[in-house]
Amino acid sequence: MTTTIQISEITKKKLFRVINRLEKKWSRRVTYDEAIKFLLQEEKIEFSKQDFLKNIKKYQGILKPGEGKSLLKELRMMDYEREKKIS
Amino acid sequence: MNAKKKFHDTAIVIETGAMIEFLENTELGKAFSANILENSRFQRFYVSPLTDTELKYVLCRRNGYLEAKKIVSDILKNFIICSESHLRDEAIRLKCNFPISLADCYSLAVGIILEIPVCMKKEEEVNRIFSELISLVKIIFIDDYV
Repeated sequence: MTTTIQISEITKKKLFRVINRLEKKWSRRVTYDEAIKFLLQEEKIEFSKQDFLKNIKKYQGILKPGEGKSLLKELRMMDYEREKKIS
Repeated sequence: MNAKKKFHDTAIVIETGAMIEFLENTELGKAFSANILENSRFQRFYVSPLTDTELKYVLCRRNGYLEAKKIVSDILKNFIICSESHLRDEAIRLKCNFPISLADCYSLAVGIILEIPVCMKKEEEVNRIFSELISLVKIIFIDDYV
């Protein structure tokens, strides 16, 4: 579903510059919607380093040494074998 | 410091291998935590959607799908997961040019598009083409901290 928003000429020009930059980078047409989404992703989000570390530290050591590596290796190996079969 | 420079200096992409070392709490994982996650310089942590998927796969094999989804979503809740549609062209370009995993291509694509460094574990396949990759994106190997 699409909707209409009102923006000033200056903002429109700035958005157009972002679109040009993204089109050059992605080598394809870029819509206003995609440019706004891209900018929103880049916007300064509320980030507390303390909360970030407190949260992630809860998970340090949840896997046994070698456990994750071996499963990841297995997954990537399966993908590699599949690639070899089709190439 | 202007906003653009500030963004480039404070943001980093984290690749699956580095996250796994952290979750296994290995020496590499501890070094990654001390030098990257706890480094006050870094204020924004990006991951590719494939890192999200790979972490869920690893945890899924161990804890089942629902638990894996819950745990990984919480682990990554303060990370920015880039949209796949923004990355696919760059990732495929890398995949066509270099013999590396698609997941690595997506992590590197985030770094290339946002012009920020990518933190990875040193894997043979990436190390082999390191000299070519560094002309495209800055790579930080967690192995260099131990």
